[in-house]
Amino acid sequence: MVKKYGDIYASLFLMISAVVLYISTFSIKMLTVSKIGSAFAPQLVAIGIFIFSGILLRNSLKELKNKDTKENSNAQEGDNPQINYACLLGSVALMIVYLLLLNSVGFLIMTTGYIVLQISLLADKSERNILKFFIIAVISSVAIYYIFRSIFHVMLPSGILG
Amino acid sequence: MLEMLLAGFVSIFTFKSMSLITLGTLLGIIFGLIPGLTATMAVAICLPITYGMHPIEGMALLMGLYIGGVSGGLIPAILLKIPGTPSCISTTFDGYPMAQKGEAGKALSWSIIVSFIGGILSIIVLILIAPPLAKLAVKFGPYEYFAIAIFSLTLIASLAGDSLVKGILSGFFGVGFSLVGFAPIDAYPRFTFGFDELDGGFNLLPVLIGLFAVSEILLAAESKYKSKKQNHSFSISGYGIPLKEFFGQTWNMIRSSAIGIAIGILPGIGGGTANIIAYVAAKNQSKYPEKFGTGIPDGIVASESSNNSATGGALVPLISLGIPGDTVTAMLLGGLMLHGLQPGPLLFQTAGDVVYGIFASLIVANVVMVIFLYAGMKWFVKCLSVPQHILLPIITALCVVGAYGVNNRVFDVGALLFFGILGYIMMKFNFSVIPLVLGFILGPIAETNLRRGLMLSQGDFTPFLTEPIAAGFLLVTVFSVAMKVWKSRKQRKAATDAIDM
Amino acid sequence: MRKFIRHILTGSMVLALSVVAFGCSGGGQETTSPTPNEKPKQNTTAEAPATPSPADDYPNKPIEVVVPAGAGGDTDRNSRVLAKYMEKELGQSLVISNVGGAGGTLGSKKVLDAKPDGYTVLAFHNSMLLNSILGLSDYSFADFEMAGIGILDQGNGFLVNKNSQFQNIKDLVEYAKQNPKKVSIATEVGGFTHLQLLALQEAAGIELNIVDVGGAADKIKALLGEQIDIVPTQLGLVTSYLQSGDFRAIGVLSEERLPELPDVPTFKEQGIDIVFDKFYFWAFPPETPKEIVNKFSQAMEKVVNNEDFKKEAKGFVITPLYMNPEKASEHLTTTASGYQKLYEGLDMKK
Repeated sequence: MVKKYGDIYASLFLMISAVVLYISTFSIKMLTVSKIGSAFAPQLVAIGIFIFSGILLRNSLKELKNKDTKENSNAQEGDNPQINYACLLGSVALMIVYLLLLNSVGFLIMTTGYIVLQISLLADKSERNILKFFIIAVISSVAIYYIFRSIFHVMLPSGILG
Repeated sequence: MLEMLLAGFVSIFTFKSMSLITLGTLLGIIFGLIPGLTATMAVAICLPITYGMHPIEGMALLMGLYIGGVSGGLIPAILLKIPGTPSCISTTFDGYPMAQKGEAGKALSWSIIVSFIGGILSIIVLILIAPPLAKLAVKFGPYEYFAIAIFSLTLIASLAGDSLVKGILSGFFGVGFSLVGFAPIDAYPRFTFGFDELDGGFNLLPVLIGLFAVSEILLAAESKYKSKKQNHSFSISGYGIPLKEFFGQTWNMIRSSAIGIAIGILPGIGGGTANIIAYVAAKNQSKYPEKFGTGIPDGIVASESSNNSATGGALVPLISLGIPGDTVTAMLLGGLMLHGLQPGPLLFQTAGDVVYGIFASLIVANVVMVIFLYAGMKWFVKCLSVPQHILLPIITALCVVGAYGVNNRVFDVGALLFFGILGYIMMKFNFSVIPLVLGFILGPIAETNLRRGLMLSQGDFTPFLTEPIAAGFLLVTVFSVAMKVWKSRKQRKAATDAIDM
Repeated sequence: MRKFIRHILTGSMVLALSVVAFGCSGGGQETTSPTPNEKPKQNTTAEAPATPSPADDYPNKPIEVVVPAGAGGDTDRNSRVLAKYMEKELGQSLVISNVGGAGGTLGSKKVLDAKPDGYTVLAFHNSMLLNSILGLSDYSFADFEMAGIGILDQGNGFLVNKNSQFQNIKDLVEYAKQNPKKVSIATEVGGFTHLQLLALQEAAGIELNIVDVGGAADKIKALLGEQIDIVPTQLGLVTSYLQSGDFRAIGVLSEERLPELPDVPTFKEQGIDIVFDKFYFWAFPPETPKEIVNKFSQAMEKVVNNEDFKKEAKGFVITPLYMNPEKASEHLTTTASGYQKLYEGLDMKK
């Protein structure tokens, strides 16, 4: 589905965004005297996106017409390999939670948790060995945390541990 | 001059200095290796320890870090398609496919050797003609920078892959994202929606790593790597390179190194842009451009020789004029000043021994880099042959560290995630991510210099077109765009003709 | 044989790494154990040996110094040099974090929001005052816990390229009067140098072409390339250029001639009565316990009086000067109101 109409959705979305973008630049005040102020670049970008997504739209509509007339002679070539939405969305959710709690709970705990869960998400059922994952997670998190804090002075958030 | 250079070598052949260079290079490689950590960070961290040292020793360590940091990035670029530093972006274009074809060893070999050559060439240039080059570099003002930025932006056309329109759109996204934050010149906050964190805009590193690395994880997640045997058993066997092939790349090496040196010399533009420009130049001047991206040495050669030669280039203005050529050299400037040295026209006179010590350290560092990278090859590959479902999460954690380490803020980690998701979505819709990166890097350079130039000329556009160097670049730009359009028209005509037949 | 070599290499790499690692830890035996500073009591008595004060074992781990400017400029350099000596006084490493951008507000904000446990400190200067006046930030120095002032920078002056027609300020003013907007001068719009320029224009009755060129290093580059006529900058950054003759300093914005550069006349003696000093202060996040701030401040005082520090400062054309928290706050307040008046009297848009 994405393959056929993807470009059309994308270009329409972009054209609308471009318009919104352009309108938002009206609120940018001109603080300097020169003709080109801070609003110039965003406006240029907005116009550019609008024009080119317009071209994209036109091109994809043309292709769509061609494809229809050719009546999809080639078989669907094993269309989209099935997207494992569960795993995908799970990973995204996992990352978001990781991010949100990073400062408050601390790098050490959150990273351990993240690694364990992410590995479990990605791993095949046959390879699922929570204990092994947990050990890997703990070792890597601890190693990273201490090496970077003590040695490189990158102050990773200590969260509730300190 | 030769005696001074020899004296420089002698001064660093102490056990302490040599170990410092060695350790520095090793540490630098590790920093370059981990996506998100950069040579700049490595230098920043180790700068304070050099205070207690003699300047030559301190500089030896920092040079090792510099060279190691710039070179280390090639490993994840080739083995994981994730650039370890922005200067290795185009190494992923051909390095990764080559590794996929089972020629990882060859890819690594090419990169290492060519990095070395690029580095040494730039050092030779640095030693011999730094002062006149630097004098030329300062002639580049806002008009010239603007022209170069525009020129580089049009290179997007050559990188766009299948759809030129999508490539251009991607480029515009990049420029758009670079606009977030305080505007240059008048510091007006744009697109910050009232969030203080957005005042500074997005930093290149989380953007880059997000687009390349985090999106990979999401891709892995979506396909869940059904086939367990996906483990890339990179074969290192046969990492030698036939001499004939090597010499076939000579012109490529020279040209790419020259590009790297030139871009490195210009303050404000560094290895990140150099490698992309060199790659595109190689592709356009090649007899078989369609093969680029499939895993041919040419791409690797172009990318790696230019990013390492940019190091020597960036040192040219630093040493001759006290003006840093890139972020690492900016740190070095601080370091030199704190050792009581003032980089500038008198540095050669007042501290010539330190300067030649630096040159000697650079050469040694390059050698050490080669040794370490070769020796470590098997080990790197082994590390990265760990099953994807374990490897990727750990890499993510490291990326988080890298993103956080940019400014010690969690915001950058958020940016990382955002761009990771964005990269994933873009890939799903068949938009290439590379033009975005290019637009992101070049957008601010173009905008800032456009506005500065106008301030200088008081609103007058003419100098942009009449200043010789600027005009030159613009002409080249127009010419190359015209060529491209003409070529693609021809191609399309031929294609439609073929169909009609 | 190969395998053996491999093993040796790996072994030595690990060894080497650990050596560097220990080296990089800055020699401090910091522990990452949680410090007992979670809920600091608001003790206002500086020394109270009876009750355990939060400053007793401060510092016991590295301190992060946020410098709201890029590496290699004068803010960065001054902060680093002070930090170098502070490390010896405090016995812990001071890690410099460059958080540049947005006129310094990003760095300031970071410290404003940081945990008030004494391990994050801001190293900045007068530009912070400008940030709030110009509306770039909605907080000001008064929101921070001032630790004190450590450096006075009177070495701000105007530079021209050796090929310039201007020998001194008089030449400049005369020419500019007859050719309004013809003389280009570099600055960062909204920054410290911008204010200097506007004051100059006002005092001398001239109009210059004010061009944004970027930071310290960019200005030097522009002047070398003769793309700009005049560059206001900190003279300590360009001493070798002054010595080599590539640049000429036509005036310095101090009360009296600088001992380090006795040949450079002040603006005052050339008839333009403007003086601009830059004070470098260090400040902690709000609600940092006073004992910690005072301990830090006392260390600053010791550093400022250190002979070696004084020597280094001379090389940078800056003056070690110590002001304790109260005096520093006072001084900043006075300066700020001065700027405010100046700003209101000028049209910053120009």
